[in-house]
Amino acid sequence: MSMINYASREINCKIVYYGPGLGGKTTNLEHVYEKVAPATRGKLISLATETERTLFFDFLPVDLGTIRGFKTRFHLYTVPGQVYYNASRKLILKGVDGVVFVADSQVERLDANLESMHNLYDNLREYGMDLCELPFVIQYNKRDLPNIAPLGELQGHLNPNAVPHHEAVGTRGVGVFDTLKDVSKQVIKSLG
Amino acid sequence: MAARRTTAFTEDAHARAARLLEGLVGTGGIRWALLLDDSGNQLVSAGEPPRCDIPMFASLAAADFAAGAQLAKIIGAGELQTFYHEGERESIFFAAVAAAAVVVVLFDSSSIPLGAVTLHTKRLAKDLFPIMAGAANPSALRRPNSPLQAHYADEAATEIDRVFRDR
Repeated sequence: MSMINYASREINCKIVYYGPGLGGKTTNLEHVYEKVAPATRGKLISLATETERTLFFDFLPVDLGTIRGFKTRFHLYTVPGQVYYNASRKLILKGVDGVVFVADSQVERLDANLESMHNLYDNLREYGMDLCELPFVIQYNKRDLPNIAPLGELQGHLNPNAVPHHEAVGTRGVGVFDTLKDVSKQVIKSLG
Repeated sequence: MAARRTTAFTEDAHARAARLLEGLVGTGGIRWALLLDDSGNQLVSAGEPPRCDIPMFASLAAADFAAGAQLAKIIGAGELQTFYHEGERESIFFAAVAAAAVVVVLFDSSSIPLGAVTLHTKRLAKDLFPIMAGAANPSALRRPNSPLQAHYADEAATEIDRVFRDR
């Protein structure tokens, strides 16, 4: 839920990166952290296991600066992708303003993508939210790998509502900012 | 299907909440008090803040309390009202302010007993409740000085293009 604080003159918005395990959600945040100007970002927190799998969430605050007298900040979160961490995923979705679904383009990950997408719809429904009414972008990640599904096939399975989508290679930063710009502009337009 | 909502925290709500928090940190041994919403947005604080990144602290605090509340729910313990981390010197106490906000208190456990912190913080949470209930009033979003009037989205889009790019 976005918050306008008239006293401190701040607007905060929450964007959550969702998707199957090992799909590249944390890599997206790491790229943003490395590439934005240091003055515009806070610390990147990763609550992860010893093997660097996300256990609870990653968090990165990014400041846009002051707009119309209000300091505007995006709070970027990832969720743990592994199926059995659903309770944690649901907690992180609370109050979300915009969602990025990071799909793994590899053929053998199609079922995992579908399961995660259904899980996203289900978890939002439990908060009384509908993904069709939220700012939402799909990122097809790992487009540099040899065993990827064609874009049209992924779109057919994962994007029946034709929301904006981007192809990406998160490890090289390709498509990372295009995705973030897209969802954050949608979030700003939807305020109020 | 309920739509998500934008919440406005007005100057008046801020001033009233700040007075209540300042009253609490005036109690010996309580160093800092922070009111945040359940998304981890910091709303108002009083006292001496910890030397750390405060947005990081707020996001972790909101997630920590949410996880505790979920644990309470799955064992059938009902709604979580308070939550406590005991440190060697400084400790952290959380209290729910209705469903959508949490007050977090840092205190020196050698200076004030936990029972007193619990009592004061629960009373504070109760007093904060009507303020937070008012924060859900969407009419504040359409005030004449709302940043959402005229050109905000256009200017924000320009800044998004400037900030979100590879350096």
